[in-house]
Amino acid sequence: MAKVRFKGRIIVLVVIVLLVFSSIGFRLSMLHLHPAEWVIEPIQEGRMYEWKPVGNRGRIVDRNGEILAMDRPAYHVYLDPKYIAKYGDPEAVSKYLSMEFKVPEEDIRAKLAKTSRQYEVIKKHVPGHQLKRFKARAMGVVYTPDELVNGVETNIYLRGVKFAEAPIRNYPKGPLMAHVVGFSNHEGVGSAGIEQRMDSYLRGKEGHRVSKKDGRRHEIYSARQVDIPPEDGATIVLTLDQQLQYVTEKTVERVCREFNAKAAWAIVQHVRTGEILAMASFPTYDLNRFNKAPEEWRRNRAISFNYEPGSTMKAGVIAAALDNDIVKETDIFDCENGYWVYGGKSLRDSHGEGKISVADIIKVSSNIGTAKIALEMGNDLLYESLKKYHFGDRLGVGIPGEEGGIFYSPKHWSKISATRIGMGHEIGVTALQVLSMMNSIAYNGVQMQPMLVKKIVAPDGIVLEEFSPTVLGRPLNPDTARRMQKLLARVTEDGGTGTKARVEGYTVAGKTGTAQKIKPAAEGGGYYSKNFISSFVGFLPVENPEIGIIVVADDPGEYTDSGRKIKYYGGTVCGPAFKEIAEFSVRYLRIAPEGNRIYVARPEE
Amino acid sequence: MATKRKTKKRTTKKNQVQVPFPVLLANVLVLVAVLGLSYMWLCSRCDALGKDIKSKEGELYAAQKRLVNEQDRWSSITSPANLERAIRKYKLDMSMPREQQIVRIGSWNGAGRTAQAGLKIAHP
Repeated sequence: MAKVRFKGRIIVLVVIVLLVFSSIGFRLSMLHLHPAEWVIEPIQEGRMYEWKPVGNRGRIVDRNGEILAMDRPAYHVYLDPKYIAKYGDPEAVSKYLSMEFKVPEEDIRAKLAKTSRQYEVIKKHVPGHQLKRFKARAMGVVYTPDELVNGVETNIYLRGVKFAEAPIRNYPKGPLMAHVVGFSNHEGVGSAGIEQRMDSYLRGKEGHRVSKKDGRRHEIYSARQVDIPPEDGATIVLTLDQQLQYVTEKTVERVCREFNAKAAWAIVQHVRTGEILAMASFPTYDLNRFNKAPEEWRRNRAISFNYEPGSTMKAGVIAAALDNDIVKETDIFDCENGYWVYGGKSLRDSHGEGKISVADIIKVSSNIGTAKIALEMGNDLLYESLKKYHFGDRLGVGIPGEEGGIFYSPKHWSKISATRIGMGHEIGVTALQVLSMMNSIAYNGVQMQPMLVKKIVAPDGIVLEEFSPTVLGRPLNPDTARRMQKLLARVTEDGGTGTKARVEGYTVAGKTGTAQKIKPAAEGGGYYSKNFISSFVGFLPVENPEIGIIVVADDPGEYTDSGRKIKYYGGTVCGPAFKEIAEFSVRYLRIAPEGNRIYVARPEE
Repeated sequence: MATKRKTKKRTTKKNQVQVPFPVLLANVLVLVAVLGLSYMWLCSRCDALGKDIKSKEGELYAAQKRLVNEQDRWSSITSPANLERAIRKYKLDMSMPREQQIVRIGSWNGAGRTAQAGLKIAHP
């Protein structure tokens, strides 16, 4: 057998090589399997990637899916003063940022002076297009400072200027539906209207991603440990229609301007479902600049303004009297030629009437006639009948700020209270309540709950909640309601107070209202003699009522040279406004004059 | 005298020590190398796919943002106020037809819901 040469050396060499590699292997294994804390911690920290993306706030859309509120990408521009002090150019940063974002240079310099800090916000919610422009001008282009460093030209970018994504709430339609949609504040919390009421649905859910990043600070996809995507908030579908809303808003604005009213508001409601198709209040404001609008402009008067309705209340009182067989349409009442004293207090009619029927009392809107009917009903029956329309209670329309009106029980009434309540005084109501009363007459005695939200839809299309029409009550018998519809239709006929509310080709039922405004206690109490709340409330077509509309104006009118106030009656101020809204509505919703609906509503075509 | 010839021992193939080739070890090493390379290839492939997914995620995110911006813009320009402004700007005479200009053709289905047809013909 041949003798192996250098056998010993080979063995030694093999052992050494094995030892070296084994120890390296062992060390590597130990480093990987049981690394020491002091080794692993800084590495892990440096490589750690954590991101918490915010889910967008849900959208608010009208019944046709038109976007009324949505989150739009925007950015906070911020500085890293510590970094800029070391590597950047504070002068250039302050100059360019000031120029672009209209922030005083001194403010930016003051922030740059805080060199221990790494996050100083310069401008919040900068829209994407502005940022793109800025980046192209100042961030992507090489910038040469005036002062050269040691005579050498150094090209510097605006280092240390950073951008953080921060979506902003945007209202693409501006002031349209402002009072219903409401707004969310800069922290993304709903603060008015639907934004506030539906905040829990609208709010998006934060996501969470934990991963590692590479040497270029990019996230390593394969190293993701946690990846929970953010969830956008739900979409709220309103019952409002943007076209009807626009026409209504334009009309109430015109009423305000033409008749010098302090404010005006209107509601359009679908009679059979209670869906509110339009709700406008003027003065209004742009939702994108909500913080610049005075509080008074942000008030949704259609649901939050308590007023004495005046003659529009007569419809409810006479309907109740008919319903309880207290009177019949043909019963004759003496209207005392326009002047009547009861309980030591006088009561007047604007046009003196003699003996007229109940049907005519409502047509000419006689205060004295209605007061006598109310007295015949008695306090308790009058109170109970009006309570059936939910006066004094909130109707639950679904947005904050809704008032329930003021309606005291008979134990607080005086001797003349019934006569005053009959003609719409000594009772505080909202426009929504009066419209609801009128619509219950239109819908054969059924009062529907007013609805503003149709459904709530999750981002994946699943309907979370769908609101169906709800019956609030049945304040009248169907027969009485139908009789009342006919009586109210006479108001817009010749000789009635609401002729200006007529719509060509359609039969309109309604009631005018002109009530003196209450004088505050500080001014001595009682009523103003020349300040009124004017209104018109009605529905059409009478044959098969589809829509109910109310228009209210606060203190309209003009003074003549002699100091007399003119153009303040409900029929004069709000009648034409009703007509304007109704004319558009019937065409837009394709409601036939005979009451046959060619289409139930546009969206269901 | 016979000289003893000093013969140099030649290292021939015959008398060389024949270390047997470690076939098993070689196979194991090749297998380990193949496994290692496969692992590395898979890792790099995963990384590449990860980068691809990341870039697609970025694209999707950018597209979503663009969509949102476009929806916002569209919603704004189709608001009734802006449409009216545009109608005025381009002097388009658009108004609703009067009642006498409308002919309705429809049939009532009796259920109080929708008729079969609803046509409007506006006469000039």
